[in-house]
Amino acid sequence: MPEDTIGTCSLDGCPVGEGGACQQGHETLGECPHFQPTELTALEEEESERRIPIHSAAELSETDTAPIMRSTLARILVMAGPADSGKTTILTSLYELFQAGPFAELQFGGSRSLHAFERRCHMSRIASERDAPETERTKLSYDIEYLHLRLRPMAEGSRALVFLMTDLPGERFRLARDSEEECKKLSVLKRADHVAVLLDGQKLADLRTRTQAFQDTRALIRSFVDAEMIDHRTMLQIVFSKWDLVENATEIDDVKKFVDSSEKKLTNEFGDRVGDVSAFRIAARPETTVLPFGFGLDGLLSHWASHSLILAGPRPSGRVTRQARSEFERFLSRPVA
Amino acid sequence: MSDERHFLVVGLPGAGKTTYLAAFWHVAESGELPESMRLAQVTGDREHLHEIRSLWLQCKPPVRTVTTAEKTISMLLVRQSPHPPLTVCFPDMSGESFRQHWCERSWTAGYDKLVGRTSGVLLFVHPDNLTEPHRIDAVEPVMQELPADQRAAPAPVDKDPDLPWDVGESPTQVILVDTLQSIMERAEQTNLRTAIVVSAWDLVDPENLEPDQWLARRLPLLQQFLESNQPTVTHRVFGISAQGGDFETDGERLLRIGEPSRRIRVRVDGVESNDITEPLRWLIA
Repeated sequence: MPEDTIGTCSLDGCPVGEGGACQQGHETLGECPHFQPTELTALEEEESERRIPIHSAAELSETDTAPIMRSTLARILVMAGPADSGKTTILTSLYELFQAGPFAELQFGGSRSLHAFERRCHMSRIASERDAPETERTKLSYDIEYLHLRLRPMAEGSRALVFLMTDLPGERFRLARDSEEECKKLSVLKRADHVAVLLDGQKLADLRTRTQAFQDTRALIRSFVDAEMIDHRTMLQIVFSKWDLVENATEIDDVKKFVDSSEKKLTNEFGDRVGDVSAFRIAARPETTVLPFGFGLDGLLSHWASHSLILAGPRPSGRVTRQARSEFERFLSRPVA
Repeated sequence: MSDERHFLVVGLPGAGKTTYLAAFWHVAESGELPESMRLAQVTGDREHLHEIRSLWLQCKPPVRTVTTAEKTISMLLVRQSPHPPLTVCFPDMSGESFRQHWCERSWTAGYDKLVGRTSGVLLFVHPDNLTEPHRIDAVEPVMQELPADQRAAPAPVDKDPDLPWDVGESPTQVILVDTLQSIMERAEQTNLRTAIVVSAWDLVDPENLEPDQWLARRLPLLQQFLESNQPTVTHRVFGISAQGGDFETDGERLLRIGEPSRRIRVRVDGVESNDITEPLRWLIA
């Protein structure tokens, strides 16, 4: 504020001292004989210019999530899987879908991690000047960090949902697969509402790599279960990523048979060790136009939004649910009240 | 005794805040529109107001507000009976300040105080000054359909593929969501009224969209944020042409309008007027 507008007035009741207009009607306060300007000292100016931090907009640390967990019914989602299986791309694609409008009957309600999302999206945007979209490899770190996303169902009267999603490097899961000690370092698994384990569609489409990809996934889930990092409160999703590459495979029928068989084996093996098992076929950012951008993500996000065994209450008995392929199947699989 | 309210005027560079302020001051001070709010007194940097209004009257574009020239302007406005006069305080901040908040994750103690006592927000967007999140996979199929001579030339072999992320070039809707989020966290109001002003509405007019439809089409993330945060935030979208048209191509016609207030166009909820004080009247309702 300019110096000649700040001050006091010796007349009773004149609002000038509180920043109001001169009671005597002087447009220039300095012309009023009753006005006494206050000199802003250098200290006051310096105080006014002092910087006050606002939230970082980066990934949230465990400490950052504590007040969110206390004040909201936040759902924790863990994206698990080897390097380059598509974990980060699923998260960025979800964010990009909301940039275009409501998605999966949900509206974007805010995020405390906007810088983190934007940085991850950069390499898939025109602004990066790349010829083809890419996702930056997640750097190896032993800190658990989260991306925060607040969504609100479009149904009237619905409450907002808060998601805290991990974006851990694939290397951590390779270590966890091979070592109970490393597995136990992934403490977030114990608190996770949903654990989505990815099988890389590119590897499944290749005869030489598909069996190894399946066995690695099986070993990872077994490690989680044996280390008691996931249990009957956990909802497990088997996510077949890069589904556009499966659809483009030369022996597509064989690949799909293998995928169906993998889904069945994993469901049978782990179905009674966790709260729920479901499977999704996803092409978060297809390389061709054979599938649309974000294929399958609506089903996955809807599943995350509508289910949580941790938030629902005490431990239920183990229950197996394969991905419902129709509304009727979903209706049949709902528990009887 | 007047009722005193503080409002934040928010928007990125080139969003139209200063042009709005110039036109607002003219309408409130001239009394050309009987239905509008009328100016009784102004405190603050009137030299700045005179300067921007003078440019506006001559159909010249305003000088961009710089961070070192930020001022707070207080206006004592008279409303129709029985409402008492209203003192309205607007900090005229540069758009660069808001971009700085987004990039550097801090703001000044002075601004923090303004946010703490704000009664509402005027948030400006300009249809021609939007950074949009264009994905490579969305554009590539379109490029492939173009004739070969219209496609972009391939990048040179030695081109550095890594153009690093520039936080300042983030999409406009993301920055504006973050701005509102930060204000909401700090403001003491439990119901924050937010008037969205789509500037240069004359540019949008040919699209036959209402202002809220334009927002949903061009800034869908912001629109979702506003819808899903009700009633913590209550919003209304105004399309405003404070200039009335393009000064370069339409200047002569605008200069010939007898009462300059009549150049202004305001559109909200299907209704048009010249009253540029409408967003403020809604904010204080």
